[in-house]
Amino acid sequence: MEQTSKLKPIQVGMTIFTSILLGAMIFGRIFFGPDGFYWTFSTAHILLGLIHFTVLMRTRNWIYLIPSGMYTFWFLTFFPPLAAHPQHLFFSIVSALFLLAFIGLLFSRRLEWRYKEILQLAAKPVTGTTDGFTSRPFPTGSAEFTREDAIKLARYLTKNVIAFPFIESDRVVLVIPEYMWVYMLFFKRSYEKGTYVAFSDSGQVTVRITKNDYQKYREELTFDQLCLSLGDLFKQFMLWSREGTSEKIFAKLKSAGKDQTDEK
Amino acid sequence: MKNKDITPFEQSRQLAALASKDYAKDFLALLVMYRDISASEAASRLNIHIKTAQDFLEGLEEAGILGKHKAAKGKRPYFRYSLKEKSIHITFDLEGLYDRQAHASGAAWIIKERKNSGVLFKEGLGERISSVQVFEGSGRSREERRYSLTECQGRFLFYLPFPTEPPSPVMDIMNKAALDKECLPEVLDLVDILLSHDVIEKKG
Repeated sequence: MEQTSKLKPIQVGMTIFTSILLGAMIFGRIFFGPDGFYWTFSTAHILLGLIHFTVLMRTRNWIYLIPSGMYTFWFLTFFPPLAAHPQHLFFSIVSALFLLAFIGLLFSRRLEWRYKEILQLAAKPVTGTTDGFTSRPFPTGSAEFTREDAIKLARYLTKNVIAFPFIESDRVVLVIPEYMWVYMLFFKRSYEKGTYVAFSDSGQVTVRITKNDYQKYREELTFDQLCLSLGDLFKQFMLWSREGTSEKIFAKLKSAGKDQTDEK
Repeated sequence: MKNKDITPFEQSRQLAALASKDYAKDFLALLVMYRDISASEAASRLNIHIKTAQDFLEGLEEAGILGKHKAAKGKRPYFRYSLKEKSIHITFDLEGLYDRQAHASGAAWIIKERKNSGVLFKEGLGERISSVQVFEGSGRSREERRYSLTECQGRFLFYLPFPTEPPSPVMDIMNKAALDKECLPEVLDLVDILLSHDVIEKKG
């Protein structure tokens, strides 16, 4: 039986962002010749290099050294004023090495944001389609964890760009943004309009799904079931984190992404 | 009070309003001194407008503090006022403002959030909602009203069943939110507000 994804196309913003960069390069090539292309190409790459370096600093995940290095060395290789630099050959070789490492990284899927997979996994057990959206947070019940456990989970999820944490005095809030960069690059500093799962010091787990994220589903899934399911998913993440098997979180999300690909 | 429909609170409010006038002390002293007095006599004596004096006298007469009788001077009849009471007591029965009996049944109301209520809930610190924004009207005439919630109300609303959940009695929701019975009146006040805005629905 043919299965279809429960989600509409998402993260369209990234396609737009990439198109703008490509458009700028094409524009540079058409109107300013090969030099115009290399200027825009290298500028786009130093921008991407800086973005990935900021993510590296915020996540403390060393794999971001690969895209940061790759984009930086591509900049050094293709930036027109550095074309005659004595170290140009060295820049080119290092660029190529970083590119190989980057390709390997893409295959490992370690760089991907997990927004889509999280929404997909949350929707999996939901069978009802009676809508019932509300902007109120949903108390999904209690779970076994301490504040330290919640912080440990938050660190793992941040490191793997799965969720962005807000450590508050009485709880740890894990935001699941569509575009992780908006938090990583300081464009957003609050979760007021975000989907999140919060682990309170009292042991309660609360979920809020925003209208924007809820509308990403093709059907109007029964809202309380969806919130409950998202809460259960993160309770499972918490359990794995406490057991010291956090890698299972990554594997679970990766498998969800694979399922989606298969479903398509 | 002549008007039987007026509540004791309203009566006290009117008397307090009269007593708060700048000229009230002098006017009342005049009423004690004079056997009876007309509005024009009082106005000229106190150097105030005749309409002001007339309203003050009528207000006291309405509250039963003064008596009035018709007098005729030439062709034109007018009223003369005299004190009926030697003291004025203004009492506000605050407990009487809230009908506990009428609200008592509210604890058993079975409620949940209405589907597509269209309101915005703002989350507060801890497990509570800090405010509710409701919208009235549509298009350009759409108006927003924001209700800031007390701790009790915020916690209650946090645990209110979702539109797709089965409804629960108010008392059960309060228990879930770990609220004591002292919170019931303010919780029911919120329930009344939300019912009036179609944010929640009541079963039975």
